[in-house]
Amino acid sequence: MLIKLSLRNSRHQLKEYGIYIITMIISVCLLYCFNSFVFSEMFQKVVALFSISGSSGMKIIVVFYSTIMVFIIGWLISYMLNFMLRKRSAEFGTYLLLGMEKRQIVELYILENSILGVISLFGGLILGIGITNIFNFFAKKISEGIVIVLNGFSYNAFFLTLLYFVVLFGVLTISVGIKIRKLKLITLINYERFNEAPGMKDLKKGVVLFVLSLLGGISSIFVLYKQPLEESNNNLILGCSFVIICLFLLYYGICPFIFLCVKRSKSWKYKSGNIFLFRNFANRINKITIQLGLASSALVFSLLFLSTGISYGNNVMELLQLNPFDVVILHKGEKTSLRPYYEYLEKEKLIDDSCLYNLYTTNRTAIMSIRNEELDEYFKREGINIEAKEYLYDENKWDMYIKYSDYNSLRDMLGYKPVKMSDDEFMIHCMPYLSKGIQEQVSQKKVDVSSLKFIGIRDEEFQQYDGYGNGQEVLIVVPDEYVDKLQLAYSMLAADLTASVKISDLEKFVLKFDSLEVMETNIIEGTEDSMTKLSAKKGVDYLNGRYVLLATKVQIVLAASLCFLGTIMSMIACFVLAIHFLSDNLIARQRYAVLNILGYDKKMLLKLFEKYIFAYYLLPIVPALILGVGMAYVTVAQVTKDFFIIPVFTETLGITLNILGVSVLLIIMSFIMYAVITYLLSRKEVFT
Amino acid sequence: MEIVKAVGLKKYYITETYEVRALDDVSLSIADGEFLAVVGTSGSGKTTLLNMLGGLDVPTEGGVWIRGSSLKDMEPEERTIFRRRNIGFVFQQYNLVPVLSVYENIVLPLRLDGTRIDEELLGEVAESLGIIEKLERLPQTLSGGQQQRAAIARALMAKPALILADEPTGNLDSATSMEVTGLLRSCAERFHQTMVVVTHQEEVAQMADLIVRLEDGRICERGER
Ligand SMILES: Nc1ncnc2c1ncn2[C@@H]1O[C@H](COP(=O)(O)OP(=O)(O)OP(=O)(O)O)[C@@H](O)[C@H]1O
Ligand SMILES: [Mg+2]
Repeated sequence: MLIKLSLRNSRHQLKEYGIYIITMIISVCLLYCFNSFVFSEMFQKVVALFSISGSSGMKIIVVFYSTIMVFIIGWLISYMLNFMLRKRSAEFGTYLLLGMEKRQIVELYILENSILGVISLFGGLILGIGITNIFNFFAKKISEGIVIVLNGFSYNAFFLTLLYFVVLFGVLTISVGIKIRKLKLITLINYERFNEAPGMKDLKKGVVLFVLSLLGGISSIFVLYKQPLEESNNNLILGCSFVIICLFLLYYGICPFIFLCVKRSKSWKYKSGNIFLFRNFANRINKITIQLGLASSALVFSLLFLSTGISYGNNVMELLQLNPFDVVILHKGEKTSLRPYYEYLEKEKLIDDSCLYNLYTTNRTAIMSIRNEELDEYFKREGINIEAKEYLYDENKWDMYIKYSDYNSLRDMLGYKPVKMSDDEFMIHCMPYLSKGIQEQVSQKKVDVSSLKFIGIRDEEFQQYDGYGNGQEVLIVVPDEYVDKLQLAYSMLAADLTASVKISDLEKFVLKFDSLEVMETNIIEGTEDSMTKLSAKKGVDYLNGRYVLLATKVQIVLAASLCFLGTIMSMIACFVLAIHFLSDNLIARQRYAVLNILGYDKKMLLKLFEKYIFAYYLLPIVPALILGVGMAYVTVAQVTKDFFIIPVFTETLGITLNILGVSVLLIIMSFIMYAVITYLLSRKEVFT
Repeated sequence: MEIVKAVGLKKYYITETYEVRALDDVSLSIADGEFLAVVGTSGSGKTTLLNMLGGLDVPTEGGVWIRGSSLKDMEPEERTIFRRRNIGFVFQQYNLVPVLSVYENIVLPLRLDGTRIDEELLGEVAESLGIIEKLERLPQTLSGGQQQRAAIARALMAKPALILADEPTGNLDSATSMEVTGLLRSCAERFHQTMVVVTHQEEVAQMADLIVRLEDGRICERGER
């Protein structure tokens, strides 16, 4: 009997309260997405890297966000269960009236919910797996098949989601069951009536809370600004906590505040329907404080994650541009032949174009000293506490030279115009930030390169960033015969690969040769005069270049991860808001029907409804944007500034604002999209 | 023999902003097999009184005894079972379970109690209430009056000693009201049941043995028919 009834009830709810099931399914889906991200290989890599550098911050952050995630999902579930209890209380009252024991009713309730829970669980998991795969698809598309952010399917994520959901759903269902047990029959029968409209909250208290929340908001930005990101992740957590507190207080306080304002303006109040709109809002806002707080916080995080993610992405893009060669193989010191590598790549048809060449050096620092001066000046100007010679690999401390003919074939590979130079001339290729200083000093004859004549500077992207490439930020181009007098610094092979090459082809390539290793600029050692150098093993050749960067730079993962988290957060925000709206439809429908009978025509009602939904969505996004932009500005500026040690960007403010603009636009657009969907769905239900 | 006894019943709803004396010192005694009508203006406390008598709500003061047992002194679960065995309810809202057919609704209390279903009686009751053709339908496909009659059938089938009905004929036209009330009466006589019927229809009240008139939570008039 009981089982039959609960089966039928579950089916009934599936049909009548689609919103309930949808909530559960999306909750599970969000949980799964988040977990599969936490367990993804890529993210584990980030965590591992952070812990190598001795910081446990990443783990704390993961725990922090997991907690928030579980809290939000728990809230969603509990909201829905209570919503359903309200809807069904009269029904439970009937059972009780007919002599069913409370115990039996609770059993019935738990049984029904378990059935629905199982359905939601599997629906949600399937949806989650779908979404992660879609996200992967796009990440792969954008990064040309190289970045895989999430695992297509992760057992760990699957089981953790299962665990979270079963525990959350179980605990909450049981607690609602206990609530039912405690409710009196008379309350159950009239539950809906009792639950309507709590009174206006205390005005003074509201205004005080409002002011407190503003203070909270300011302190959150202040905390971040004072000591942003850097080693102390606690600050990030502190800042985020401040934001959450601030937003929740805000929505506790904002209603009395608006109430005060509106009370003053009589003309607005009595204009057609405004009083209804206002009452409607004031009445509801007390009950939706948590929704607004949650949605708003989620939006702040969404903006923060998205903009930080985009700025990492932007930096990585820049880094890739600075490394225009797909593959560079480099051998330090003594003369060896890199020809076998070339032959292999050629044979496997991986190469489009290539060049075998050498870099030379001699123990002079005419040009390097200019570089050091310029860089020191920059460090001083920016208050960065290192010296130029600390950021200089030992092997690069002397001036570095390249043959004119090699230089031109490299230029040819990159599609740059060749340069003309005669036998008694030299020129310099450097990164843009050095051009002016070097130009000035060299042309003023302060520097002399063995009586050759200086004919100019080129500063296109040329694989000169971060040491192991075509010189550390600067390279001197000399006539071919000139190098006879110099020592060999590196033997090099630069190659452009065919479009179809995959990371796996390169992995095979590295495995094929014992002597070949991927360059890891993290593995360095110090030297006596506080310089660093690559801990090169004897006889080993290093693989570097754009492809290696793509495969090894954690910032790519970070960028993708943050964008993913940002997406999840914005989904949560919109979902939390929509849920309230859709679950309120029945009551709204009655209200509008009454107004209709009282003489408001359909058009006026629709306008009223539109105003309401507009105000409802505006309320959380405005404070979220204000706070979010503040926080995001601080972090994005920091990320943009810190990523490259040397000045790569000429103008960081513009870039920061650009990134902020793009993320704000993205958030607003997705927000509007969700709002419109909610509007359409609920208009259909309320007005037909 | 007295089946229901209420002594000094008071029910006050007190909040910061208002105080309502829904019941103010109501005492009454109903004999076995009696048919009592409670009348009064809207808001006079009729439903409240019925809730007290059925043990659905606790009075602020006073007490209710049914067949000599005090409702107040029972444990909640005990009260539920006592109610199931002794009291049937018919409400202003029909309180039918939406997912069960009319037939299943009617037999639900019997099944809960594990009692055998008297199909013959059921047919008879359904027939006279005019819902015999509707037994396999779901409640929401019935009209308001038909749903109300299904709820009445449910209360009758359990053959409780006491039936409490709150506006059982509120949704019915005058002729059907009389008919249904007549049916309630004859059932009551046949199974020796006691009925308390809240109504605002004079003609329904006139069919009762005893009429109690409420005004502002007090009994202002008691009358034999
Ligand atoms: N939960 C409650 N809280 C506050 N006041 C209540 C509550 N329930 C009932 N009342 C008040 O108690 C009084 C009696 O209510 P009751 O429902 O008994 O009236 P009634 O006689 O059944 O009216 P009607 O004929 O309209 O059904 C009314 O004034 C009502 O406003
Ligand atoms: Mg009533």
